[in-house]
Amino acid sequence: MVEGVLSGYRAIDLTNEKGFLCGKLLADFGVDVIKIEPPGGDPSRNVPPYYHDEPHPEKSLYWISYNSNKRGITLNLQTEKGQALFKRLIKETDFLIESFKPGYLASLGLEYKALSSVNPGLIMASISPFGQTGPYAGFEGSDIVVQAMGVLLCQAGNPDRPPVRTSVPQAYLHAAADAAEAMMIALYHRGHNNEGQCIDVSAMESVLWTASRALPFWDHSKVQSERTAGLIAASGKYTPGIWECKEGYVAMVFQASLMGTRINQRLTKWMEDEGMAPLFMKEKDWEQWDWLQVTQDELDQLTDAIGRFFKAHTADELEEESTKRGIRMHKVCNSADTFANVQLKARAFWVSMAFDYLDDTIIYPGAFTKLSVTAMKDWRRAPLIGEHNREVYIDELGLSEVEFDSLMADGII
Amino acid sequence: MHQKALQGLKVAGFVTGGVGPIITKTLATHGATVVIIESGKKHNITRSGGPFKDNLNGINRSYSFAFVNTDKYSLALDLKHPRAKEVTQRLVQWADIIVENWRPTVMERWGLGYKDISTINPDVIMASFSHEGRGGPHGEVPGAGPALSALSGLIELTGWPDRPPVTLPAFGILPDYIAPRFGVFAILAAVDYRRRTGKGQYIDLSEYETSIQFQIPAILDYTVNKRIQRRDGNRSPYAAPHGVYPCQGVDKWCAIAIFTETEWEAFCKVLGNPLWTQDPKFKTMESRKKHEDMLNKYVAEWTLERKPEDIMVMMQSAGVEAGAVRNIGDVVEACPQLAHRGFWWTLEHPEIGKTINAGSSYILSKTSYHLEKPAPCFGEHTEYVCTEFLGMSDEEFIDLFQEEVFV
Repeated sequence: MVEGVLSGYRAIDLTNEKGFLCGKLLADFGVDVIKIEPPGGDPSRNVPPYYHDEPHPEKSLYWISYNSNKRGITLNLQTEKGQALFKRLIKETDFLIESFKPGYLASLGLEYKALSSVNPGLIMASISPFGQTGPYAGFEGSDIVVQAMGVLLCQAGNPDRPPVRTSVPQAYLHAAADAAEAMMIALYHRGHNNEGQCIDVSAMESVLWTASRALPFWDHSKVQSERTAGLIAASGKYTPGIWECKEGYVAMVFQASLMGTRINQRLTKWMEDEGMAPLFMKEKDWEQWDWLQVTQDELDQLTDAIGRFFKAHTADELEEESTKRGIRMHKVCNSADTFANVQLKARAFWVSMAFDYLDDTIIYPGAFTKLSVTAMKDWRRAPLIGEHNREVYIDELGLSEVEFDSLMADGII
Repeated sequence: MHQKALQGLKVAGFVTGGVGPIITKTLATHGATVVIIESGKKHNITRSGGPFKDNLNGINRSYSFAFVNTDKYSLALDLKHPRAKEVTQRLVQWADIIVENWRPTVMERWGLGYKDISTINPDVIMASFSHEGRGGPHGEVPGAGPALSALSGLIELTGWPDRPPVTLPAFGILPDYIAPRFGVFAILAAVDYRRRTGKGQYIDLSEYETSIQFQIPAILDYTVNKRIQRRDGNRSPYAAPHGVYPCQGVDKWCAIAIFTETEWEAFCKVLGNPLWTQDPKFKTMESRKKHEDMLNKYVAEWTLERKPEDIMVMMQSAGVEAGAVRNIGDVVEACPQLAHRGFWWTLEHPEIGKTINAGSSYILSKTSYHLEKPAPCFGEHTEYVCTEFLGMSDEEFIDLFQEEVFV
């Protein structure tokens, strides 16, 4: 087996859905990630959807999605014995990720200062809605709240309805990926200076960074973001980004100047081949077509002609032919389309993950990147509640059977 | 002043469009030495995107370029020039990391594919970012951000169930902001691997594949349950009320999210326990979900008479999740939390003047970042990079300069 790019490191993951992805990125790269849950299991095991729609803490597909490749143990951090055990684990740990309410770990005596006195090389990332300190540090913020305050929400929707979010929660994926990125930055520093540190990730800022393309427009002329349904706004002009087809939708954006010349020429040719290109499109010198000069009237005329052309075809037909003709366009895909995609298949993206306890194999999205030397390691399903307790506490930490049993009986493990 | 974390790390960026500049910005913000290689001969997409200073198009006048290129060095270089190799050879020897996001085959055409690069510098880490990854039937299909958003599956999941899907946030190119996080993570993991083993490597990252990581639950719902998830407005399958409610004023909104019965009770209390909240229809999460339309109407009646920031504070003080919907101007001008964390940075750009810049979404306790230099003017550091970083003699530089290599 090829080693992972980060094989040999260990991480402890104390997060809930606000941080799962961070530990998963580490685990996907070969870090031994130990997910700690309270005895009885994490509340986030009750997030739907479920395997075969059977609500059960070990069948949450949400949990399974973002905890693969991790090991799982249980530990009650609210007890003194639990805290002592945690510190023993920390001694041998490179990365710690947590997403508790700011101040919670400190209330248990497990803040970075206390932990780094046990292990000065420890790199710890705290993910919270707004940051560990400041006027909003005590605020609660789930996906929609953080997206609202972090400007992302106001950038999507129909003008006659409220701003709208993506139905699969996104905010904490941005934040957790930022935490993973930040941990690598801290690892570089540790590699050269032998010291660990703690990282304070604000999910609102992660989301705001994602929305930040709005900043230059505000800086330039105090332009706010707007919701434009399926339109794309550029320099005060609007063109469709999403087009309705005979069946389904496609996404394509006009581009002027050099960027768009070839695409516009190819699209015109395609329409011409099918007898659907109006004269003004055929006669247009696309090389000279300048976005700053073009009028909204002309864009509307174009939109009209192209819209009619697209409506005469299904999205699947357009997808196939546009690929052949080198036109930058895609069908608005759903998960069935994603699963059927030829490019993903050709790159061997999907992995089969064995779920022994379900007597089943689940097809699962694979590596987020390909590395030439250090391939992703073997894929392992998310852990059951306390699945690796014995392995971690007895085999690795060196607890005796008697100690282990008594900690189990006392509800510490 | 703290030392920045990535001090000493050398990055050569053959970058264009969105992803490449964003990745190198993150590395530069945290202290890496980043040189971007650009040519005035080839159309420079990143510099030709508006808005422009005084609305006049110009190579050093784009606010968008200025925003995403802080703390970098610019080397002007005509990569098609027969003598460009004399410069790229040294650059590749100098760099720890090569980042590129040109369409697959472009770097190879310049003689800068991984094969060429690793021959010059076997330890180098090279990261290629493309829309659909290298190889495969679509490896070389030209990409465009909004089209990729459609391919990714994220568009289908955004909007109202009774309406067509809507343009994604981030101006329709959301995946351009997802991929860089995975990219920086992978690059720096490879750097650490090299520190331990001496081995460099090649990173092939597909934006498409990283976007899928942001919707794994929906994907598994399909591969396991054969259910195709669709957009569902602002609803959540396990929360109610959960939505964005109209407030006093023009186009003002507040998000409210109630996940537990305790939160529901606290929410009702903030409203003053009006009669409707005692309706058995709203007693449990299950029944609130069943009567969500009616519930949302009642909530909206209450929010309409109040300002979003007031609702947010009232709710948050009672332990209820609520957040004012803010636009970019609101957070630049008046967010006390961002001010507290020092998120905004003002830099003086030589042609644009004062620019507002965004910092990092995380703060490192021992190596905090600080933005220092505005984005470079085109080719601003050509001589500096050649002589100081690459060790070129003045004669060599002048010779290449006169041959018009640096254009």
